[in-house]
Amino acid sequence: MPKQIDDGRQGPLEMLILKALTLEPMHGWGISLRLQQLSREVLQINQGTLYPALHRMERAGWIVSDWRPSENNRRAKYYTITKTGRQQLTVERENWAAFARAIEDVMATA
Amino acid sequence: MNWLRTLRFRVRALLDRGQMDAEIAEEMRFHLEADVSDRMRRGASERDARRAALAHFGGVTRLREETRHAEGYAAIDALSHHLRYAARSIRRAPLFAAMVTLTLGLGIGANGAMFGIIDRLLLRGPAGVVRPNELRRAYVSLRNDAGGEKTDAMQAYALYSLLEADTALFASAGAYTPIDIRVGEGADTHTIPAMIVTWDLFRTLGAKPYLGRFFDASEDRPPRGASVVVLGYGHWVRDFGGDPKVLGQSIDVMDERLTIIGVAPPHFTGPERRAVDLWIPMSTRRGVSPDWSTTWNAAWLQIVGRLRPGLSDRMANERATAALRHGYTGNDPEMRRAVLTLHPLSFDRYGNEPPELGVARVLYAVAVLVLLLAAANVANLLIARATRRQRELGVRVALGAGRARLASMMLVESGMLAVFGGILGIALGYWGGALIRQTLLPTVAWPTAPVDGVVLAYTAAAVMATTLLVGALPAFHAVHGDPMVALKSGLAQSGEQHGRVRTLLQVAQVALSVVLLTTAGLYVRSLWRVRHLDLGLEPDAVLVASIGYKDENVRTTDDFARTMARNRTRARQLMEQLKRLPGVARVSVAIGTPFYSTFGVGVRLPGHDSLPSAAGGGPYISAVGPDYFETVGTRLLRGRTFTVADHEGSPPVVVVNATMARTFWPNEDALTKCLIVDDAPCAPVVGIVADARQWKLRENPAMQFYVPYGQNDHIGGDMLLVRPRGGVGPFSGTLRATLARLVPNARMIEVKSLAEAIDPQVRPWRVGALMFGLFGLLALVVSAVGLFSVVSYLLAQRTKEVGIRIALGARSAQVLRLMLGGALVRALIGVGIGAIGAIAVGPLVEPYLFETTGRDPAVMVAVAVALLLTSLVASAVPSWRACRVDPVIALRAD
Repeated sequence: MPKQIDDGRQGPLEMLILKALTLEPMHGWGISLRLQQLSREVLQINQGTLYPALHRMERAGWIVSDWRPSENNRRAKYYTITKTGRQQLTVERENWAAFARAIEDVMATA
Repeated sequence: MNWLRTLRFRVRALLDRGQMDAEIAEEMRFHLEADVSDRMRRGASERDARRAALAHFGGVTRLREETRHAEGYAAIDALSHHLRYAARSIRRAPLFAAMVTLTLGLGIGANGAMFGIIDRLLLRGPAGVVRPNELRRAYVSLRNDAGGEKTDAMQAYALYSLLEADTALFASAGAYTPIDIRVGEGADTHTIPAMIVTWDLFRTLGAKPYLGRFFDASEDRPPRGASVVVLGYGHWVRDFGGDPKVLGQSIDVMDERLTIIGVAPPHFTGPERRAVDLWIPMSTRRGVSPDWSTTWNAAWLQIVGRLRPGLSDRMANERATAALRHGYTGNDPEMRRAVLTLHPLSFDRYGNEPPELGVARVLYAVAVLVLLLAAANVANLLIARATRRQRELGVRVALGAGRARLASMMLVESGMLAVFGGILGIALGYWGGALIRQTLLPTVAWPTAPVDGVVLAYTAAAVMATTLLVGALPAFHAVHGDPMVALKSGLAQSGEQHGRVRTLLQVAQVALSVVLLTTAGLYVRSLWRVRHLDLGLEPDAVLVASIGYKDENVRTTDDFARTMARNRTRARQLMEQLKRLPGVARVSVAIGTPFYSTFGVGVRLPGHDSLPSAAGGGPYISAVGPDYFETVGTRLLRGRTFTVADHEGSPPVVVVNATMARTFWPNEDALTKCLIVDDAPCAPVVGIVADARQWKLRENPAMQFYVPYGQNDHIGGDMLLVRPRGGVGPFSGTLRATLARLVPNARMIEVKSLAEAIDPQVRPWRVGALMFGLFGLLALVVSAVGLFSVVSYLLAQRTKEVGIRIALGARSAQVLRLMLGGALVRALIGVGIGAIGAIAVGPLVEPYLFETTGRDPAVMVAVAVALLLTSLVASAVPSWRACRVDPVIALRAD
C-alpha cells in the first residue's frame, strides 16, 4: 500500500521545532540556537520562517505560548509543546522517515 | 474543534489588535537582543554585533507582516479595510447613500411584510397545529336539477360520525362550529368568540393543553355531554389573570354552569384563524333538537380530518364520496348523488381560497418585483458611480491592488448599503405588516408580531441576495476595464455598454408603476362608487340600538303578543326621551331593519289569485314608527309616510317601495290600490318610497312594504333608530350610556351604526384601493428615486460637456432640453408599455371591481399624466442643476 507522503515543504521545520520543544519549553531564539547545535551547525534557521511557523503552529494547537522571564531576566515568549503537538511530531516523523527512505531508494537504484 | 480555535484567534486578532502587534514586536526585539549579546559574548563589538544580527534577521517589517498573516490577520485586515473604505465613500456621498437606503429599504420592507403574511397564512398553518399539510376540511357539493351547484363545508353531525368512523380515510377527525356567546348585562353586553368542538378535534390537530386537560370522549357523548369547558389562553390571561387555580372553578355560559377543566395553548385558534375564548364540547351545547346527533337535516358544523399517510387527495375524495353515498340515510335526493371533496384548512366555508389570500399572493409577487427593481436601480447607480470612479480604480490597479480585492471592496460597499436598507426595511416591514393585517385580514388572530424570527431570517436572506444583485455588476465592472485607459481618459467614456441595460431598467420601472397604479386607480374608483352608491338609505348617519329586557319570556303565542305590546310601550317612551337628548336629530323604531333582519309575510291583492314576482323576491314587511323614512334617509317618492296617528287600532295603511308599486300595479297608480296583509282588511297604499337595499350592496331589487309600528303582531325584534346631528361615531357612546340609564333592567343593550353592518361588504374595495395604492406608490417612489439619481450621475459625467456648451454660448433652456430629452423619451416608452400591460391586466381585475370597467380611460390618463410628471420632475431637478454649472469650474475640473 503506497503511503501518501507529505512533501514536507513546511514539515521539516515544524517537525524540528516540535522535536526541540520536547525537551523543555523554549523561546524563539532558544529554538534557533538549539536546532543549530543539534544539527552541528548545519541547519541555519531563518528567522523569517521561524516566527511565522511558530505562530502557525500555535494556531494549529501544537504548541502554546506564555511570557516568562528568560535566563538573563528579560521577558520572553516561551513555547511549550502540547499533547496534540506530540502526536503531530510522531506523525511527521513517520512521514519524514518514509519520505527519506523513498528518496534513499530512488538514489540507491539510480 | 479546529475551527473554534481559528475563530478565537481571528476574533482576538480583530479585538486585540494593538496587544498582538505589541507582543509580536517584543518577541522580535527579544530575539535581536539575544543575538546581539550572543555575538558580543563571542567578541564582536556592540555595533558590529547589532549590524550582523539585524542583517541575519532580515526585514523586521516584512517578518512582522508575515507573522501577522500567520496569526490570521489577513482576512480580518482586508475586511476592516473594506469596511472603512465603504464607510468613507458613503460619508462622502450621503445623499447617494440615503437614496440607496431608501430604495432598498422600501423594497426589502415590502417583501418582509408580504412574506410575513404569506408565511403565517399559507406556509405555517394555524398556531398550535401539527403538520397542517396533512389536514383537510370536508366539503359537500350538491347539484340541483337546474344544473346549479353549491358547495358547503357546513354539514350534519351524522356526516362527522360517518367520516370519523372511516379509519382508512382519516387517521383522526373532528368537527367544530364557531359561535359568539353573549356575556355581561345591560350596557356591558358584549360577545366573546367560542368554538363548539367534538372531543377529538384537539387530537386531530395535534394540540396539547397548556394547563389541565381537554375534554375526552366520555364528556362529549351524544345526546348530552358533560358540563365542562376549556378556556382559550388569551381569555385565561386577560380575564382570569392567568391563575392556574381556575381549574375546577365554574363559569356561566349561555345560562349554564360549566366547570373549567383546562386551558388551551397560547394562540391556539383551532382550524380557523379567529380568536377562541371558550372551547365547549359539542354534546354540551343547548337548544338543539333531541335527534341532533343522528339527523341529516341540520347542517351546522365543519369536519376536519388528518389524512391517512399515503392516501392521495384523489383517492381520499373518492373514498369520502363513497362513504357519504353509502352511509346517507336522509331523504334528500341531491345528497344521495352529492360529491364530497377535501380541501386544505386555508380554504373558506364554500370551498374557495379566500380572496384576501389571492390578493396577498399577488401583492407578494409585486413586492418581489419591486425589490428586483429597487436592486436594479441601485446596481445602476453603483455602476454610474463606478464609472465616475474609473480613474480612482485605475490608480488602485496601477498601484498593485489585486482585482479580486477591488471586486470584494465593491461587494462590501454594496453589502453595507444593503444592510442599511435591510434595517430600514425591517422597520418598514413591521409597520407595513401591521397595516396589512389590520386592513386585509382584520378577523385573523395573529400568533406572532408582524416581524418574527422567520421574517427576520427572510429579510436577512433578502439583504444577502440584494447585495449580490446590486454588487455583482459594479464589481465586474471594476475588475474589467483597462487601468491605462481609465487613467488616460478620465471620465469621458465607459459606461456606454451599460447604457442599454440602464434604459431597459428605467422603461421597465415606469411600465410596472403604470400597471400597479392603474390597478390601484380602478380600486379607488370602485371604492368611490361604492361609497356614493344610492342605497336608498344613509347608513353613515344612523345608529341602531337593540335592547333585550329581563322579563322577556316567550313560550306561547299569547306571551309573544303581550311581550310585543309591552316592548312597544317601552320603545315609544324611550323614543320620547331620546328625542329630547341634545345632539339627536331624529328617532324612530322598526321591526325589520335593513342589513339586520327581514321578514316575509303572506300578502294578497283583491281580485288576484296569484301575484307577480320581482327578481329580488319579496314582498318583505317592516313595521316602522313615524319618522322612520326621514331617520334612515329613504326618500318618499309620492304620497305620505306614517305619522303618530298611525298605530295599533287606527285604520290600517301601507307604504310600498318603488319596485313593489311597479311590479304589483304596472301602469296603474298604486296610491289608489290596497293590500291584504295576513287576512286583515285591505290596507290602502298611502305612499311610495324609493328602494332601499336589504342585505347587499349589489342585489336585485326586491319588493318591500311598510306598515305602521304596532299594526302587525306577527313579527318582533324592535330596533331603535337614532339619527344624531353630528357624526355617529362620537354619539354612539352617549347613546349607549343614556340607554343604560333609561333602561336599568335591560338584559342587553347593543348600539351599532348601520354602516358597521355594511362595512364587511365595502372592505374588499377599500383594501384593494389601499394595498394597490400603497404598492403603486412604492413602485412610483422607487422608480422616481432611481430616475433622479441616475440622471444626476449621468449629468455629472457630462459636466465638462455642459461647461463647454455654456462657454460656447448655449442658453440654459437649450442645455436643459438636451439633458431632459432622453429621460422623457424613456418615460414615454415606459408609459406606453405600461398602458398596454394595464389594458391586458384590466379584464383580470374586473370581477373584483364595483361597477367599474377594467379599462377605465380616466384612470389610465390620470396615471399616465402622474408618471410623466414624476419622470419630468425627477429628471428636471438634476438637469436644472447641471445647467447652472459655472463653465470655468466645469472645464477646470479634471
